[in-house]
Amino acid sequence: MNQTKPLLDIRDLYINYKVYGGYSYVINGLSLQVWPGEKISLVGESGCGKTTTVKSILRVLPEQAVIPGGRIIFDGAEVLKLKNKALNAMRSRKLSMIFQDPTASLNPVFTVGRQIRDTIKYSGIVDRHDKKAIQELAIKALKDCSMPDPERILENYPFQLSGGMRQRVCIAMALATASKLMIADEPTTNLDVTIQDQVLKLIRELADEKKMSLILITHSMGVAREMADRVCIMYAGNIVETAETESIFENPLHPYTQGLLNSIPKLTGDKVMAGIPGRLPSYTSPPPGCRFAGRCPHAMERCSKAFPPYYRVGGQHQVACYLYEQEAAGQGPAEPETKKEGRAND
Amino acid sequence: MTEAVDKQDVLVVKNLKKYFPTREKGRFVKAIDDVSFKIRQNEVVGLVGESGSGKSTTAYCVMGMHPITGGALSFEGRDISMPAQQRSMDLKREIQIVFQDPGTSLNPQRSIGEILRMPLAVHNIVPRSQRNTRIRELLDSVGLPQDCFFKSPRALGGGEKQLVAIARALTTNPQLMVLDEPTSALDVSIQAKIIGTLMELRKQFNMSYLFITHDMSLMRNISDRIAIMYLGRIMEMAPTADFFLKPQHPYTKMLLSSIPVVLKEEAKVKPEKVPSQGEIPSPVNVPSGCRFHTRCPFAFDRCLTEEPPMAQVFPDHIAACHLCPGQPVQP
Amino acid sequence: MARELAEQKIETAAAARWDSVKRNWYKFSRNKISVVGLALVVLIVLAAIFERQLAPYPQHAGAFTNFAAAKLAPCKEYWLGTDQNGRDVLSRIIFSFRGALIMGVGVISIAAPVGVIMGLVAGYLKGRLISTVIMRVVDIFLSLPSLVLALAVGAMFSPTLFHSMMAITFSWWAWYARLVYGAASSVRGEYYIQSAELIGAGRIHILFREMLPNCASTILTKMTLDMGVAILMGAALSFVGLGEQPPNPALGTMISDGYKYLPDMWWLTVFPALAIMLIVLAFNLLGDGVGDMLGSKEV
Repeated sequence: MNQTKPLLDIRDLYINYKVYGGYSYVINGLSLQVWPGEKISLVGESGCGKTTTVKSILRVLPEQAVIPGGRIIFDGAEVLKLKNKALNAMRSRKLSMIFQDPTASLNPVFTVGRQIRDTIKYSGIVDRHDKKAIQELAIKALKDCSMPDPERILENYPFQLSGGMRQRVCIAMALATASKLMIADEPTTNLDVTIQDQVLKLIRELADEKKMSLILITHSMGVAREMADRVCIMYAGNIVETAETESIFENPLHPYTQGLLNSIPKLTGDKVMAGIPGRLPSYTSPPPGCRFAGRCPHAMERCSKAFPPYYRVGGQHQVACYLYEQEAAGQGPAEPETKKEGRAND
Repeated sequence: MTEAVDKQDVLVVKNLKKYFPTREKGRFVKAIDDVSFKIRQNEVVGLVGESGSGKSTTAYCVMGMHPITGGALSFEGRDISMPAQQRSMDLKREIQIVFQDPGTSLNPQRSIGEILRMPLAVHNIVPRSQRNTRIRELLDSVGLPQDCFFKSPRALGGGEKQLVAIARALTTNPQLMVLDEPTSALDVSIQAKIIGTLMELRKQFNMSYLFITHDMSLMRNISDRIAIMYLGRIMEMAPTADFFLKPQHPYTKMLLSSIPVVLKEEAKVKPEKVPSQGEIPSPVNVPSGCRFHTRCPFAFDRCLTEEPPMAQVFPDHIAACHLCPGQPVQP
Repeated sequence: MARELAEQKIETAAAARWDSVKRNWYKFSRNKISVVGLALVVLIVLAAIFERQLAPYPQHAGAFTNFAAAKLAPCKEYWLGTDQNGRDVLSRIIFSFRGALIMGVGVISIAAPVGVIMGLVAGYLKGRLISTVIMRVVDIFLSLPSLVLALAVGAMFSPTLFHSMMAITFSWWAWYARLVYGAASSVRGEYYIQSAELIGAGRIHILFREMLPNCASTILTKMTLDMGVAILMGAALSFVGLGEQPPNPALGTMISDGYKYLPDMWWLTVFPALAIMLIVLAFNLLGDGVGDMLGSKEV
């Protein structure tokens, strides 16, 4: 990994939601880095906070969300402190996001072309009155996404396109205004397996071609394996393990990662999948320390006292688990700050 | 295959057709276009396919949610070709369904206890005084905590809701359970628990399952036999091991080779990559000849004009492809 | 401390009901304006019940004359002034609340059940002949002008509050039928309804135990807002001489008696009009809050 600064640096982020009777302490001191040109996959099950995390990067959290602590540094700027103009510039020119449901992401009453052109117009990369340039960029964006007959597609409405094509339109819209980071939130979950294949391949190729970083959110380890250079496993508001893709699958360290891999139905080996006993901890009265301790077969007393620091175990493999304290000794400091002081108060 | 009613067969589907009318006269959405298969006693048959394949529609026709356009359905020798409204209460008791989305298959305004009580009351499975006990037993048998009794479905997670849906299907002691993608909406760690529970329940209560999903890896772990559907027809059907080790139909190979897997050993077991090209045609415009020819990398001239008949390639292993030779099969 | 419903141990039906009340109050009270509406409605209802204790001059409601104190502007003895007979305006307004509320409750308590049942049946059986027939009948009743009908009824029989209520109710149920038809036909297609049918539940159970609770939020919101509308209707009717007959006080009658004295004795029309506005506003604010509370998708 090159020693340059990370493109995205989330440090010790805390996010709470105001709910009936108090607060829901969802994100619990999360730290994440993405380097330029790197493709990472954020893997976690529903409710672990992955969408909340990326929404905080874009600053599109709902109004009941509070960010009591932490920093998000993107391309050198403090995202949480940005104001309107700078914020919009970041959103339109540097970041792009693709959502899970392409049908819900496209406005059904406007043509696809109108929506792509609007995105280009308001991003400011060309003069907003230069219709010709805007149209050319729109066509190029669709061509880059391997859409046949882009001129005709631009005049179609979303309901006239299939699911796979709608998602490609969303990808085109995201990339039309050249960006540095693409965030894809479960982009293929609603698509068939064969189309999923095609769309994922497209995303990977585009990211490589345009030298963009990619954060791919998914709950499927299989998809992560095919798409990412590095995988981050998320549980209940924290990243519990991160490693190069090969390492995560060959040598899963965190008990949660191991449980997850054991739950996936396989084409070989044992037929009975183990699953992980228990359920997600309460976010409104979360357990102190490691939030997985209640379900962990290796839990120790110290696990419930303080959240473990990240221990580096060779290469880029880091794991937030006291089991690896010995192993990590002598490997040097892990990034980021290793101390966790419990959750910040609202 | 004899025509005699085989007491071993729980469900017999014969030449099933279901066409939905469109606004144009004479044009139909051919959701199911001549499907035949059997489910034997204590067997799990898996129905696999992508969207538009007709697998869910098949499940719904078995349940009687749609009137069928052609063909015949029978359950333990009794004819069930009619829609649910016309079926006897016995049939309604013996065939149950678990839907894909537990969020919409449970009434959000009723408590879990009330939801489970309803089938008990409708079919008078136990007298009124014993109903609460029975409900609590059901909660135990699917592994749900007792304090769900008074809660509403909105208070439960996706996995728990699906367990309630399964418990509800169990209340009437059915012989056949139709499961329409019961875990597709759930996380992997919860999926494992649900599937485990389903397998135990099947053994415990001697039921047969018609299991529908698009997840091939899951299929392998639970089914005895698997049928793969495309645009309303079965393309291949075989016992599970054969299905994965010796897939015959190009569509089967295409699907198997595009599954994202996690282990190196799995990657080795996948068939050689058949690249997926094109998209599924609409069931309103079923391609002529073999309906898969528009996406098949091996299509040749006969495929465009002649629909391949279902042929027996190996014992109990049938496929519909001009490239797969075998004895033609009568359903 | 916050408690997610998922973790709470709810052991009895009573505990479940109480918890549900607490959650609903939380959803309702988030909007302060709705709480104001609720407070106003409670005050109005209390005023109607305790009219005798609350009004400064309870004997002024009804036949009473005191020409010495007639036509007085608002002052220390008579806060809202007196009318041409010497009766205290404030007391008469307070005594008119009861009639107004009875009008609203009476109309809605008959129109709502009838309309809801019609709507449920028509929505459940959508596509069948009976559903079409019901909705066409609803269309006919919707096109009846209720005010004109009330006038006709008042002319044919005697013009009393009871007859006016009947006339209004006669066409009011159709609005509920239409509203519930829409809600029921969209709930009809839900998987939990199909589930109930496949299990073999009877029609009555499906209509009233499965579908009705899911339409309840729409119905209850409308009922609350309708109180205001019905009371307004009642005022309009008593303005033209139907409804509560003199010497019993009614807001509309007070306005019709007093408007010929404008602008000199402005208090005879302005205060009753403000009272009507206050009542309607109270029910509207409450109805908004009820809609938010019941329509919320949270647990």
